[in-house]
Amino acid sequence: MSGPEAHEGFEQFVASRRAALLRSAYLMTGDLHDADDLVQVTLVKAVGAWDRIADRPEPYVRRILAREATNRWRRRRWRELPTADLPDSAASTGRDPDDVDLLDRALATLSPRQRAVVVLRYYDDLTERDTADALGISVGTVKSHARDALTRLRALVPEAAASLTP
Amino acid sequence: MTLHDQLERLAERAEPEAGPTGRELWDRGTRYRRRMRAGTASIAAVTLLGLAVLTGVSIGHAGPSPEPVPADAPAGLPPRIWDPSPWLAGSAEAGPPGQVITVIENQLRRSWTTSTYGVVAVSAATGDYRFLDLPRLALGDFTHVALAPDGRHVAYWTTGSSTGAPNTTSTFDGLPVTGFAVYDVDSGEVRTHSVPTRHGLRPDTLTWTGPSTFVASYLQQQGGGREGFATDGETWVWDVPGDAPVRATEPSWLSAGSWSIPSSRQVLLTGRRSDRILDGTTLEVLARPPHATHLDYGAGIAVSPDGTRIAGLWTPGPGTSRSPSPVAVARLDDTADATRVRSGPSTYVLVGWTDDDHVAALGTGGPDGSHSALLEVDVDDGSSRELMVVPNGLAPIQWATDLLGSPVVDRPAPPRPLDPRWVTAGLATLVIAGLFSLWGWRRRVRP
Repeated sequence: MSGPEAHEGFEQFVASRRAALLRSAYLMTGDLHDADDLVQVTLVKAVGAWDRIADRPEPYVRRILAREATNRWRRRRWRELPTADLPDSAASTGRDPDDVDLLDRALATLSPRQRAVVVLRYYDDLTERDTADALGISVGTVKSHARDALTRLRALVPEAAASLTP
Repeated sequence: MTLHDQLERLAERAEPEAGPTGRELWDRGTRYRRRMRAGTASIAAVTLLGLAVLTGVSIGHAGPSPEPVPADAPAGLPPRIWDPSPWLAGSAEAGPPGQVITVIENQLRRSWTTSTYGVVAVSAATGDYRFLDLPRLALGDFTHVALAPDGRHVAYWTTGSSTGAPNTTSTFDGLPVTGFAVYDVDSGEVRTHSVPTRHGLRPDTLTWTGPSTFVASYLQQQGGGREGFATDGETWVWDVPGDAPVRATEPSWLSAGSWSIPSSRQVLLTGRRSDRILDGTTLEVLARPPHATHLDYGAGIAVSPDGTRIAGLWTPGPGTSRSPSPVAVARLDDTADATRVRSGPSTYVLVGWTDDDHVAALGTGGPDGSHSALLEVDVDDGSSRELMVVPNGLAPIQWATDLLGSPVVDRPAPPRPLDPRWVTAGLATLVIAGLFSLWGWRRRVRP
């Protein structure tokens, strides 16, 4: 693909997929500004490989997004939140189990990679193989991360446990 | 509500903000890609430059590969002998050295995994230095090798297996000495003579008595382990064009105090009152001169090529030694009347005669006597000239005595290869540092 053509294709991709990427990024980061920055960095990095991926950019872009999300957390010396900081469960607060704030706070207790696995598997609906490819890890690791993440989410939102099925 | 539904509801909070346009992102991406490429190229260039410099320095120290030398290439004396590097190439890989002017014994020799001692040969035609790979070379507290006076062969003691308990007193590695061999420096051919032995041999004399004849004399060890008793001397004469040595019936043993006189093709056997001059090939007694009172038999004795005079270092009296000492000369028919060469230089070891009027000896050289040198001394008037500089404290050196009259020819210093283990470690470190820098830089640079 030539320069102007590639340029045009990239702009079309940005226009059509930016919002979807932002939603995934928001679920992975939990912060709108972080999510917006993550999407911008992802798209900027994708420019370098656009000649190769122009025909099917989505998987490559999602891979950059997922890895950048986990790496930037690692760079910020992410640490798992201590037990004392865990959010109160819905049962103890009497709040609506469908309240997405609970889910938001529960997601925040997951490790960046667990969180990315949850988003890719249960929001973007990728297969285990595609999730593993996107994160650069094995299928077995994807399975164990998904299992641990769901266990944790069910523990924090017991009333919604039944609804937290994949 | 499924997890997907709840995630979707949560994701709806992510309302797009007014951000950079697709064109602006494309421009940023282009600049980022350019910066990444430039940084990667810079780090790669610096790493490659470092690798090239280290490789170049290593190759520079290793020197050029030696060229094959024609057997008839003219011989020359190098102006100085250098302390050899332990990483010099060996004759097994670099080929036989051709005619040799000097061999240096007891030189440290290193490889990637081993450290041992070896014999370095200096080419008479090129001045090239290399280790001699002498199969089964015996290294011990004795003269390991003997260089032929014409520099064409090297004789040496060999190790092997004994029928009984091996005697471990002779060699450094505990293997018994079981024979001797001769190495052809032009072809690299080795011919070995093995001696049947129960415990091993105790080497005594290994000396050339002519350009192609050498004598080996030894005693049979009489016990294994550290037993020091040895008897039953045997002496062999090997004219190297022949396939095998010939055992001499008389004398049956030449002690280590016997001196070869290659230039006159004779052997001197020392005695308390009188000495014996033997024919170098047949070992027949030619003359029985009286023992010279003022010659130091421990510092080298040599008979002139015309067979009329004997030279050595002067000593005040029998059984005494003085070092340094002037050269002394006596007529062979009256060795008791040895006279010191007046006005001659101070010397340590007599090496041999260069012609009927001059001897070569190790002594002090330079205007202030600051270094050791091989000197040529006129035995008549004591005048001398420096043939070559020799490093102080260098291990035993042997010269091809027939070549000492050759012209002094300028020779390059031998290579001093760097320790290849350090070079490899340096190269690996550079590669790792380059990769680490690249990784760190690519992580640090932000789009």
